[in-house]
Amino acid sequence: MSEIKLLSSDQATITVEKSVAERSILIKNMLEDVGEVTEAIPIPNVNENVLKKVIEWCEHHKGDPPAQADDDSDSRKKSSDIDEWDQKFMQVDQEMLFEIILAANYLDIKPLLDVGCKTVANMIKGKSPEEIRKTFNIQNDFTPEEEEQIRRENEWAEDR
Amino acid sequence: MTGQIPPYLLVDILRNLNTKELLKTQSVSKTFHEELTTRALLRRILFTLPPTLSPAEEVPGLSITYDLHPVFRLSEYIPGPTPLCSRVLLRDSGWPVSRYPVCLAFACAPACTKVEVELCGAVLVVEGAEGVSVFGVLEGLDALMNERHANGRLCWDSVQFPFAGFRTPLLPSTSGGGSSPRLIPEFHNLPEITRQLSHGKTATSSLITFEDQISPPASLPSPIPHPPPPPPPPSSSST
Repeated sequence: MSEIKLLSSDQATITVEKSVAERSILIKNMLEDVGEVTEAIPIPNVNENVLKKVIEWCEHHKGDPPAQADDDSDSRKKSSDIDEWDQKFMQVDQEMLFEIILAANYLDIKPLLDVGCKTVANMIKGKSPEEIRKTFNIQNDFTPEEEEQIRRENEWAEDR
Repeated sequence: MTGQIPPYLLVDILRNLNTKELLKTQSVSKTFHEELTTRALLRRILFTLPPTLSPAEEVPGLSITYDLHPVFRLSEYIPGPTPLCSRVLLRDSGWPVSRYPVCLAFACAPACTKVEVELCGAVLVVEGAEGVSVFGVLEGLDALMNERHANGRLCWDSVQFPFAGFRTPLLPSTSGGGSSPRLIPEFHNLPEITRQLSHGKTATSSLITFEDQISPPASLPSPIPHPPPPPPPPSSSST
């Protein structure tokens, strides 16, 4: 069983099965380009905690078929279709959740990025704009008049 | 700023929401608003993305799945001689749909310049050079209702069978020229719901079409088979 080493942003070396690490398209392409490596591959944007978490996901999903090409036109799925293991995996604090999403984006692990984005989408569902702002620490930069106009225009879609 | 949400990933997050949920996020911040009004993927979910001149979906032989605007399911359409604006109301609030910009949104996604509305075997083509809008389709339905009613081919009890929206069957695209969706109005079957509820059952489906012919008046002629010659008016422009 072939193994490689990854070096996190905080200089921790993590040994991982090559096939697991290759869930990351970034690492897969890198390995294809450079061939055999004995040195640890630097992952400068991801710290040890997050990298371990991402590797945990990759290990669980190492047997999954490769991600389908996304045509962006009609690939939207219901945000609720996250499998049970992934739902539990994503039960982390908000800071870690966004770290995982950023790492998945950087490492090019699309299925993990999708699960992360769906998890955030589920956190948005059912919330008012003000609740969304509070949840994600977003500043309201509309004037009250602008906000009221948008609210009026979309009033038809409000749940009653 | 979008707090912890990385702005460049916002579209990937928001694409998982449906039309109503997405609209609610429009007033969160200017960044959200900007994404919702400029990103094609999100505009498609909001039914504001215009038809493309040569959509990639227009591959001969391939079926296209059209999403229909959710406002149809939330609206009540009442037949009558008064202007249509006053006869299409939001079921919950009773306000006219025409009061909201949503009536100018595209009726389906992907948006089309041509939509067929079918009722009792007759088909009315609704066209709009810049895309058929929600209100354009409702005008088409109204014209078709009036024509069917005037010809004695339809006797619709809008109280017993209120308008419930549209469905669109999956049709293969015609070779070469793309395709237009066909919208078939559906109606709630209130007598059946009442009957089931009175027997302690849960109504499995309250939707019918006039093809189901729950209670057609015996004296009326049968609907003409489709595709028929389009009834007058032959087309209705949507703006």
